[in-house]
Amino acid sequence: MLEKLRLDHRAIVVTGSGRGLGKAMAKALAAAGASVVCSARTQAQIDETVAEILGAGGKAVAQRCDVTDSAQVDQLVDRCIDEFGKLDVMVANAGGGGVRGNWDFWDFPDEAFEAVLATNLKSNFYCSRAAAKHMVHRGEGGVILHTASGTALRGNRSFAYPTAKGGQISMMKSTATMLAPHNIRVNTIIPGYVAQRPAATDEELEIRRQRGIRIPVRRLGEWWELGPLAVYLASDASAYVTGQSFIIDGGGLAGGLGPVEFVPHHELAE
Amino acid sequence: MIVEHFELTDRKAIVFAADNPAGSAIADALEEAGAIVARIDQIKAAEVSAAVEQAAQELGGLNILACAPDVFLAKPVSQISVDELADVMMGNFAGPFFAVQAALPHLREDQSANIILVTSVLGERGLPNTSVYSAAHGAIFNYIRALAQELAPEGISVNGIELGWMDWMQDRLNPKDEHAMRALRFTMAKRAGTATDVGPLAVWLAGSGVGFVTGQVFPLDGGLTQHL
Repeated sequence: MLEKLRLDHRAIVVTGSGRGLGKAMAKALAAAGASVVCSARTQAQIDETVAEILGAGGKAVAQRCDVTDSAQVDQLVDRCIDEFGKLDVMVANAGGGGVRGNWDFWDFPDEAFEAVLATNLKSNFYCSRAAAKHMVHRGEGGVILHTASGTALRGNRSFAYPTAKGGQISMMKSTATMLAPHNIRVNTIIPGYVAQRPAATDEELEIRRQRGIRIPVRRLGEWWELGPLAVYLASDASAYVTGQSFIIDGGGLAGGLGPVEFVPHHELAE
Repeated sequence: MIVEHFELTDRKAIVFAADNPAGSAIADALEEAGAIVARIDQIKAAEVSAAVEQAAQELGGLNILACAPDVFLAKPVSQISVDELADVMMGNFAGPFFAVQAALPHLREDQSANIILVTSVLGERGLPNTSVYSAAHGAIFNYIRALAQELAPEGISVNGIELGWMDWMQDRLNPKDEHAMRALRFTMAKRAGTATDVGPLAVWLAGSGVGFVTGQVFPLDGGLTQHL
């Protein structure tokens, strides 16, 4: 049954695949056999992702796209259809914190809030809509995969980003409900603290080690660790999975009732 | 060709309750991925520790433990006897609890062992007449969360697979019951899950790509738990 994980002859768009988790997912999907359209705003970065995939014997093309512009997102889907004849899987991954500034909630400006919603929520609507339109008309089903954030599931001081990501998770459940009759599955990957790339310096490694101490598995996640999950969710191996959130966070959200050093012990209670 | 991180060559696994459809599918999938699998039937909780210990000895080590017991009971709460309560709690909760306890000394030898507990949508939701079964699986849900915290420092991941309405569950979805068939149509997928839906998720949760995933319960329910 594991041959179901193969993605040969599948055409996949991965937004935000110029770097970080999107790049890692694009490479993992390509390694499983998929043809991938790599997309981001920065041409040089997606060219690099494509070069790495081609170098590993995979199939990929680059298409520049600002996902906050629905016309560009529609063009992105058209490019995938032009290149590979169809779109099977949309990985709506692009997003980010984006806001510079340290406002109190009561001073948070309209334009900052709207910018975060545009990058993280409207972008997912545009990607999901464009993908669904093609998939429904084609009539052979498909997969839409979102990347949200663990911050969406708990209160967080950077409130605009978690708010947008929470909206994204809610949208995923509704779109999964609406698209299930068309055999289109919609799911969300929810990363916790995951390093976007290998550490460049010893200092960076030490910062990561310090941050990792607060996570139950005692380390940050690594960029490549979303890859196997993306392959599973993109493939027929997950044919009965839709409307769901997949948390990959080193155990943080399953606990969180105290610092990781807090270990109640019956001998102390006596 | 197996996809990277879904390959379990020479990993040693015990599957408890391998004689039911979910356990059997998991054992088959782990084997297909290259693991060496010892299968234990759905025996009584009191017998689980010895069976796990013996299987681990025979395997000569242990990297993966999967438990899939399923002891269902549908009765009004007022009619449930002490013995029935014990059977359901012991079968669904105590069995995996003791399996983990017996497996731990062996799993601890590995720096990246995996525990997978199969549970039910009734562990997070309720239905009339499923009080004991739902409570037992609710116990599994929170056992997973607490155990994940406890074992994380040792590199042992603990995760769950939450089954929705599966095609073998005729004890709770009688094909002659019109309401049961409506329950199936209530899933987004409009169908029951099958044994082959279970295997690949278990292989991911048993593999080298899952080290940053722990304490989670992954629904395999055709979207059942995520819509109104």
